[in-house]
Amino acid sequence: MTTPAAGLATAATVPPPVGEAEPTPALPVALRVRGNLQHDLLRLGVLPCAMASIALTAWFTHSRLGVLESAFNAEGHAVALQVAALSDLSLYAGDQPALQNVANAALRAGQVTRVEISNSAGVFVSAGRSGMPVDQLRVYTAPVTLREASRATADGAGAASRPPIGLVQVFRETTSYARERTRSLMTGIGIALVALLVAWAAVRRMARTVTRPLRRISRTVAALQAGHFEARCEVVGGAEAPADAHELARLAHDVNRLAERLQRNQQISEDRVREATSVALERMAEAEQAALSRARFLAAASHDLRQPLHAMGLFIDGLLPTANAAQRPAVQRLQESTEFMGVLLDDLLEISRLDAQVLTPTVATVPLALLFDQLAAQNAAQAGEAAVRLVWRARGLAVRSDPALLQRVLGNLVANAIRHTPGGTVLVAARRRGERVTIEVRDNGVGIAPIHQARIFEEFYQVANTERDRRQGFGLGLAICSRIAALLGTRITLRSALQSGSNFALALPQADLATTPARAVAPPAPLPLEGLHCLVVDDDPAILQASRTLLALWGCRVDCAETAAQAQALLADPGDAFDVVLCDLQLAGDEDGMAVIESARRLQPDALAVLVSGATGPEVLQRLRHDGVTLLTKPVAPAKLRALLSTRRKVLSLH
Amino acid sequence: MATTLSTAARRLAGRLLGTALVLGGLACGPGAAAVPAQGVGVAVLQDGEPAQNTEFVRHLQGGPAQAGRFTVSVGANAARAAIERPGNEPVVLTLLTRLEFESLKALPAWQRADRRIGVLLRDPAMAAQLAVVDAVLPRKRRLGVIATVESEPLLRELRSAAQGWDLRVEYAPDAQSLAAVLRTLLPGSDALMVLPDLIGDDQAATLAVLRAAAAAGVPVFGACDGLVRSGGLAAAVSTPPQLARQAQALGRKIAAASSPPSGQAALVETAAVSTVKVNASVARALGLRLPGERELTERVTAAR
Repeated sequence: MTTPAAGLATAATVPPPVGEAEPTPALPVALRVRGNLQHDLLRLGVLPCAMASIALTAWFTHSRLGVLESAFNAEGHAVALQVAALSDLSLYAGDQPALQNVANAALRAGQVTRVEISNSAGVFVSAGRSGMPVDQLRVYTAPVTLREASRATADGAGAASRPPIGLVQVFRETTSYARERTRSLMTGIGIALVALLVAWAAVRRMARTVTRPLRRISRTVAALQAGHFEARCEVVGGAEAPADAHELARLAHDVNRLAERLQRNQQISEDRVREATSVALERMAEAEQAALSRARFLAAASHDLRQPLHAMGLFIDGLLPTANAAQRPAVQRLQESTEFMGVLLDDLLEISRLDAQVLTPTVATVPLALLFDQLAAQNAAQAGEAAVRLVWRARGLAVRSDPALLQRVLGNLVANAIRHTPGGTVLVAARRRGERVTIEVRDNGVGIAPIHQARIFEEFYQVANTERDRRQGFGLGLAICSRIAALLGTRITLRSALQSGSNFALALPQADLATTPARAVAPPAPLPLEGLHCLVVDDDPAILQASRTLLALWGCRVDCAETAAQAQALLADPGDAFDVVLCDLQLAGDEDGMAVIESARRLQPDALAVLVSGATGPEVLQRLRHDGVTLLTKPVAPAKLRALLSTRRKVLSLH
Repeated sequence: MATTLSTAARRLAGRLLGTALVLGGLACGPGAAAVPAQGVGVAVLQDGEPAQNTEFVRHLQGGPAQAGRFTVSVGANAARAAIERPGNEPVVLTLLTRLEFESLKALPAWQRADRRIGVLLRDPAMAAQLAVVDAVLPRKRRLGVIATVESEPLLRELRSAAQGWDLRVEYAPDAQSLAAVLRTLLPGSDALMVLPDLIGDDQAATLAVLRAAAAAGVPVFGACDGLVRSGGLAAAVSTPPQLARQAQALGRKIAAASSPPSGQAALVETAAVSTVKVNASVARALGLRLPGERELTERVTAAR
């Protein structure tokens, strides 16, 4: 069967059929961000500045170099044109001295290193150095054209249409020009570098201006995330109106408001938690108080009910041998009712003991085969009456546990199974589960409805006993079993279905059978109690009378005392040697039975001191356990009392 | 930058132009100040700028001993000083231009009847110069002349000598305003003649005329050796030894005379042609094939 949650999970993970599905919206891809904001801002600011600076510098430098080139060439051309303009008539006349003077004059101006004037008629005049490397010279030529003096201008206007009568060549040395060009280039690069440096410094300062408040905001958010809701962003804008403030200041303001709200919500939440904790503690205290009150109530009720029931049981037990035939059935019904009340009170006392945690399990290796044999013998009669077939499967296993408590639990479970499986089969089986052994009590009876499964371990909860037939129990068995299982370090699990039966199981640590001690032999038959000297101390005269009668019936010598003083006086009498001292815990006038027990231990150390009490409160039980006192709880079954006295008889006989 | 370049170019141009004007001086005219000088057989009054007249004076003083005594002045200022000197010793005024001679005639001392004066002009006669033009350009008759108002005596002599010539005269307001006149004159002229007047004695004006004529492909003639060197095609010139000999001969002539010539204050001679100077480069540029200078000289001197 698929749970709704699983169904939802399946629907969420299985893609829809092809052709029916709507287009799935694309999930946003995670945006990966590297570096930090300050570096980004630096790049954002410096990169355009660098590009602009480089572009402008390149443009200006190129322009500057172009101007230098143009100026250099223009000067060369100008000199050539001037020499040509001044040489026209002399070249026309073949006046070489005059041409030489012109060339020398041009050379003295210092702008050219060599001047050559020539024509096709063989006139050649030169001035200046020769033999310089060609790559260091630049040559400018100008044709010599005749023109009127009024039109002999430097630009040669009006002479274009006339054929040249000669040629002028001037040579300019490019060293200084190359030096100037290099200087301009270096100046441009230097300006670009300075501009870049200034841009870098300015952008770095601006980037810091942006990132510092962001870092503060980030630290504040981190502090808020860490739970420090008192953290605030110390970022303030310059504008008066918030709408005009810097975006970062507004962001910081919003973060501060968020922090204030978080802090306020935290305070509210803490107040609520504190209030809820207070309420929970109060309710817990109330619950503890209620539990304590219930325990006290049960203890008090048990004590107050045990007193008359104890006396009643003693009387009925004393009456039964002497009753005639007409009285005997009624006395037997009385005895039966008394036994039911005793069982009920024993169960209540057991629950009180378990709740008080005064029981300490005595862990030993328990062979399950032996345990199952005892349980089979214990339940054979009940199973036979109910026509239930009992099947035991120990499989040779053993567990580490308290034998008596484990037998109590399993016996209760088997009895319940027999009761609810008329004509069926009850299987008690042990199975190994790793280091543990699971003991299951399985039946094929009516089963337990799921609605009851969670409550069957509650006190007085019965599934099918609405008429509260006491012969079907009181609803305390599984409650006791659950507590004992917890005491043994395990828990009882239940699997059941209506008309299919139930399966109760508990897991225990596995034990090695080789370490199993030899099983004690069956207890011997009770010994006769004649001559046993008993002292009975109780403030209830009825109990005193009933006890005297019963013990006398068993052949014992009985002395009675109603107060502790009387008892201590008897104990102090050296002529009275008591074998057994039976003393009530709560005597009249706030006298404590423990004082009598202490006196008996001191004055009659050989006597068996037994405390008889109907009190089942946890404090009382813990105190008695601490003092090592033998306790019989009221109502004391005569058989139990006889068994106890028999043990004392045995000790005496051994001596 | 362009302004700086332009300024530098103009400065350079001015420097080159000024230098060219000095270096390219034609040296056709004498100086101004008159200084007395001692000679052998003759007394010499010499103008300033002695370097230009040194050779003439040297040949004048190195000549044979003279029969009579007379004074020779060299240059216009020396001539004025010689005329205004007291006494009646014969005077030979040499190396004067036609215009200087005309100005001396206006002096009061020129009218003295007791002094015999001889005048040797620096330049050959216009007829000789026309003969040179005719020898170089035999069938070319359109002769252009650019003149100023002061050139009228020269023009009179030229017109009287230029019979059979198509003489074209244009007047310029002064020596610095020649361009418009030249543009008018040059297209209709086969040759251009530079007169020894304010234009011919001014270097800048002469160069302007030469450049314009060269640009127009018109040959230029004159009476100065420097003109030929600077772009003129040919000129009939007298050498200093020739002038010295001619001056001595004139001195002997007036010294031997018993009285001044009647009705005329002075005996005037033009410089005899010693040689014809030709610029071969200019001739080549104009596409002319000319005879040699010697042959031309012979033609010119034979024509006289």
